[in-house]
Amino acid sequence: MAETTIGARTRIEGLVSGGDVLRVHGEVSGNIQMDGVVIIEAEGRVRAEVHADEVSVLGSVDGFLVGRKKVEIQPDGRLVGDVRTARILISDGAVFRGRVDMDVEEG
Amino acid sequence: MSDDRWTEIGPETLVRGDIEAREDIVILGRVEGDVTSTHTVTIEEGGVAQAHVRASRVVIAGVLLGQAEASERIEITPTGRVLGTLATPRLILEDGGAVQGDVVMDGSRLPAAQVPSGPVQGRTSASRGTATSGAASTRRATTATPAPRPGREPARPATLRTASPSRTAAPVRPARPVVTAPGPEPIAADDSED
Repeated sequence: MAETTIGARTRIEGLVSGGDVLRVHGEVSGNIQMDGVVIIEAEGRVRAEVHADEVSVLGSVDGFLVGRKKVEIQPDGRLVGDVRTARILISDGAVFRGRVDMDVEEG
Repeated sequence: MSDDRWTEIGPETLVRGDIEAREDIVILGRVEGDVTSTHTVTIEEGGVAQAHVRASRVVIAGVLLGQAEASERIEITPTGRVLGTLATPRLILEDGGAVQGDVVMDGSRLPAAQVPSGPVQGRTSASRGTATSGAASTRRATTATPAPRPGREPARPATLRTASPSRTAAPVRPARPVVTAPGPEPIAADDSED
């Protein structure tokens, strides 16, 4: 699997795109467009629009998340921003503020 | 796998923008922008950096289009390709590695236009660059200068001599800031975090 890791002492400003797995231990601001999974690790901080099949938040995110399959906010995760996804899991202890759009068919 | 002690840009990943790190950066994919590290930046085989890379050490096994500045050294492996400018005190170019462009090894930095630095720093690095070669050539000049020809006493000292004491005697020279070598001081302050 093509994996990309942003280390805890790294900061990226701009676009990160492509690949199966992105792990963010450091800071990313801008735009994230992954084919597979984005994991914002416990010490990770993201201020970005994030598009991926799955997004897992253990750290802190300010932005807009699109999880084509799933979005998870883990117990210590913090998300401020809107979410569009098919499935969302918010664990006990997680912090979330924003709108959820689950593409629910109306009617 | 989920090691947080360095940054690795995977083979299918593109980063367009700036990367700044206090740890190693390994590029297997593609990076476009500025890449700065207090440690080592490695462009692996298959990796492409269209970038201005600044680091202690730069290792190029892939392709660099742009500039690399290292405070310690740059290594180009047999698979490495560089199209651009390299500035480093030490350069290791292995058999097979290819460079097309300028190499600056005199201790000076890249031209100020390419480096976001104030005029003071630009002057410092320039004077630093000429300092070594200048000192060497001066010494060579003094030792090599033959004794003045006996038959022809130079007439110039008279006026110069009289002028020079008064100039040096007027000493109200502003305290000049101590311009030390502008080595890129790593942002190592937070290294104690963990």
